Amino acid sequence: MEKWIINIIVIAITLVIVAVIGFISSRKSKPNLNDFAIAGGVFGPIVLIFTMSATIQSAFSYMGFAGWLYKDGIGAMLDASGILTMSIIAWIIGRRFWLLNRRYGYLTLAQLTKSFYSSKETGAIVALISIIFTLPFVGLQLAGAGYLFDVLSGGKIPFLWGAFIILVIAILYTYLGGMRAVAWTDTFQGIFMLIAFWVGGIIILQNGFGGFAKAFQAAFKVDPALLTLPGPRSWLTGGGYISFWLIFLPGSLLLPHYVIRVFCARSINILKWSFVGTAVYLAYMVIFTPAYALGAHALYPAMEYPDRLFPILLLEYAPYWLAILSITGGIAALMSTLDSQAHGVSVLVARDIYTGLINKNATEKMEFKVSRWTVPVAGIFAFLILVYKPPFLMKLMFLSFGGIALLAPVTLGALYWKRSTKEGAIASLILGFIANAIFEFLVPAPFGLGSGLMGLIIAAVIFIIVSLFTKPIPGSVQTHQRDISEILMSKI
Amino acid sequence: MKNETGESLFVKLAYLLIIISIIMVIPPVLMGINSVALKNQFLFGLPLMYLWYYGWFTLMILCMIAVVSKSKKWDGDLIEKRLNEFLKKEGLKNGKVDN
Repeated sequence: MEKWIINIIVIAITLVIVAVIGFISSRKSKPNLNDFAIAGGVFGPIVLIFTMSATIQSAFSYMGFAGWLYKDGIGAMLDASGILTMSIIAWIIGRRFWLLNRRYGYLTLAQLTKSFYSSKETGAIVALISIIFTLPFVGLQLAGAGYLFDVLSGGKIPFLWGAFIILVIAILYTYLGGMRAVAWTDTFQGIFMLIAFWVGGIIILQNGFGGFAKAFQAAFKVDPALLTLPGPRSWLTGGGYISFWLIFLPGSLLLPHYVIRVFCARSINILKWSFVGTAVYLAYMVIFTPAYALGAHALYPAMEYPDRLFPILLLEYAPYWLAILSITGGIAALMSTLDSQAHGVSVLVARDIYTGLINKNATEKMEFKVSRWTVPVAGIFAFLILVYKPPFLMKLMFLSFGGIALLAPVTLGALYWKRSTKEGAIASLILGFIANAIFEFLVPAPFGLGSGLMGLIIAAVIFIIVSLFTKPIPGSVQTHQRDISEILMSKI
Repeated sequence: MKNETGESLFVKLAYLLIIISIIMVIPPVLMGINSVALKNQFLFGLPLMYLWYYGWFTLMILCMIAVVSKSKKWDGDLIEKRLNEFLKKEGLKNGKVDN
């Protein structure tokens, strides 16, 4: 039997398992938005750890991280550092999100800010920012899927067909089962990916370099700059490093599909241990990656597409069956992010756009239907992005983390600062977005800082100044904060 | 209600170590250790920067576990007890959505 046929059979078996898990878990679903969005808030720690990790790990963790290490050296470990710190911050503010869900029933950040600021406009802007900076990324995951299909089938299944197959399966089980299907498939995909990633990495290190330490030594012999900052391209300077790190924290923490998962915990105890588990998973999942990604310079001195490093190393140095299984783990990784993103967008559209702006009297059943049908619509939209690559959306992707990070001042203000006002929130979101775009496309940011950080700084300053010069809505912000502080017995 | 969230020295120390661990893996401290690594790139056969990162990552996670297990502010049973009392006081059973 030809190799490409074996590869396709392995992928097909994996996809069938994912689809079956999705369909079985969807049978427990109930026809209301609360169940579709957060599975009624009943998840235990294991499912929560894997579904939280799956929203963060993606095609980037599987392939992009190794590529970044190859290009910029050991400083690219700032990605792992950012993820870990984000988990700690999520743990600190996550319990407030969870309590607000139990007290007020919020399902999205947009709904939370709309209510905090008693402002329909604030909720709408937060919803729009969340959607436009999430949706193009569904297209990005699809691109990863298409590439892996293309490689494994030896070009027999073209890029777009591979992406389409993955999309149809993910959209189908998400449509049927909502969060239950997404989270249980994430659990399977997360376990599969972790094993594939570790076993694949260990075999590469042993067969390709003769061991873990020897891979680093091979990198040192090629270019010592790989083992220090700012790296071979001199890209990871102090300013660039801190910009990325600061933007990454709110940029990933406030992603709509991540916030939704906080509400899914059955209890505060489950939530807190899930944050610990997620931190451990994400920090140690990539423990072997720096060794083979840096050592690869000794094997492939000038890779044109370093993002393809992991599959290439697997096919070269691992037994064939293991290589195929590990690469299939990559498909699982990006599929688990893709379904989470499409699901997150569908909840935002139902709760914040449909019920929040179009039909205030929407029933639970109507919200559920809108959310459910938004899943395939989001999938079609993402596929069109992949096919046509509209220049406007491609530019938006450059602003991605910076765009989501703009939500940080407004969110933190709502949770912790009594002087927060809706005028401050609206001005901060709009002007922060404009500043982010200006520093990304028109004027270079000063001091080597990134455009996202500049946008965030300007958004925060504007939020504070405008809030100080305007009056908070009597009762609204303070009431929410007082409720939470009373429950938590906290002064802040 | 009586304040029940006074933390022990152990928990306070763990909080402090989390903050220190975060500071250690970002500039300017990271740039300081980088200047040492420029002269001595390996320690125990592994890159100094790699050991630095994972050493602090591990401490961060251990301290997180310590705080989560011992902190009264993170006692889920206590928080949920107060949440239920609060909801009862407000006359709510399962919370309410303010649309």
